[in-house]
Amino acid sequence: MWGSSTPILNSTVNANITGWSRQLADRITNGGILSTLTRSYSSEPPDKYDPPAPFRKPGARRYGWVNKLYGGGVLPRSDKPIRSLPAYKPKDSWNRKRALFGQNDYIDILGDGDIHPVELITGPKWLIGFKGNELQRLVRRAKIQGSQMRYLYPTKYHQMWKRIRFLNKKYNMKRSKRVR
Amino acid sequence: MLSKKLHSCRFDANDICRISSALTKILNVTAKRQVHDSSFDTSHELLQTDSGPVVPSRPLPLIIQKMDYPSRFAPPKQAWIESLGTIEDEKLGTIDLHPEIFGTYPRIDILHRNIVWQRNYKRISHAKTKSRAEVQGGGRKPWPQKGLGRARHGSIRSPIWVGGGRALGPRGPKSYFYMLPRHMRVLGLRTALSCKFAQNDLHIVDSLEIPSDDPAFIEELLDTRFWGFSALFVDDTDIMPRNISLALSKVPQFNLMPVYGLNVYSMLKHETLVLTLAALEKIQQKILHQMHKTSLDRSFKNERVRY
Repeated sequence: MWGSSTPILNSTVNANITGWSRQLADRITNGGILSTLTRSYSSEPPDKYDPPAPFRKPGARRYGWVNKLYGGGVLPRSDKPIRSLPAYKPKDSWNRKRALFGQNDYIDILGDGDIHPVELITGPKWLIGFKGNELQRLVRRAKIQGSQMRYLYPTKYHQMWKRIRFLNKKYNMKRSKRVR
Repeated sequence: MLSKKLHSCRFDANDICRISSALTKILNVTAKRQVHDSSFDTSHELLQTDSGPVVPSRPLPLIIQKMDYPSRFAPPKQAWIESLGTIEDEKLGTIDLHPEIFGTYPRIDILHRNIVWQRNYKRISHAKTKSRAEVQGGGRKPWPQKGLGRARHGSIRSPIWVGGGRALGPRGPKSYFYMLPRHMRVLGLRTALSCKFAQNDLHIVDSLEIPSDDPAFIEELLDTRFWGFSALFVDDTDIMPRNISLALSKVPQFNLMPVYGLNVYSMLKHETLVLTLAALEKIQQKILHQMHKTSLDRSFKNERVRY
């Protein structure tokens, strides 16, 4: 309102007011006293940002804020591939391995009785048909492969025996140590 | 009632004679009672036509009621004998199933234990981390105990150091092996078969012969009969007929298995189970043997070490 005049006032001033009031009204409209008092620096016309009250005035908001979100268009360094998560590939539930999983597990019951499912397991020789904690597994490995390992893989052999000694003390000579 | 149901079936009298004579030969080998083959029954009404040969007015069903060791407590279950020769279902007759194998109580906990066993007993995990003793280096004390103002350390490979060993990580190849008691595995098979039968997912066919080796035939067959998305075809030997082997090799959801390959996990993975008559005979015989034998199992001994 300061530094500007309402259109209603303008129209009424020109129509009805005379004399001294008229001079005052002219000064207001031409930006005389009140414009110097308000000190508006904008170059736009005074009624450009003059909305009907009581609504919000339009105009520049958050002035000086730079939008850092990607709004489309060519990116800098477009030759470089954009890194992202790999595309989702659902697992094939019916590939050969998964479709026939569990086959022959009951071969000692439904077969001739000469094969046991343990014989179908593949893996390290000292673990087939055996389950134990770490110490038991290492001792079994030493029994089965120890003589070979001593000359073929001496470092591994040495580390295995260090571990056996350590675990033996841990499991058998200490209080409240969990065996795993 | 049975004859009324079979009235709409269309097949040649010669086919029936051929099938039933072949079956009689197979089944009489182990049967205690004679197989009742109604094709030799002379009490049927025969149409006497002027022009052509004698044709039976209604089809001749195959009723197999033999049971090696019938249950004393429950009557046998009955299943249709179907055919894979045409796309539409053709019921050739009925067969009696042992109630202790196909009519046991559905023990879901037993099924669960069997499946967990199947998943884990073969499992060997190779996960391994180095301990502080195995990581290269770290023998020397990095700096003196006192005087520097730094924290005290004995080795650069201790678990609190970056690049140090792992204190309680996975150690070496580890196995999860164990064996379920044999009677529990047998009960698992019986429960799985009973559940499949009770939910109408078990189908018994005379043989796995199909007319063409095109996978479209089998796919359309399963589609028409509403047998499900996946099917497991079980025969008694591991040598299968040519056409079905070629057709099913193209479709991953349809799988062929011999009787010795049957297991609880596969039965539950595939929606439908299709057994041939010979496979059914063998399964019943094996399971009944396991249920009623008195000799101990000495085939596998744990802790067996070969030096």
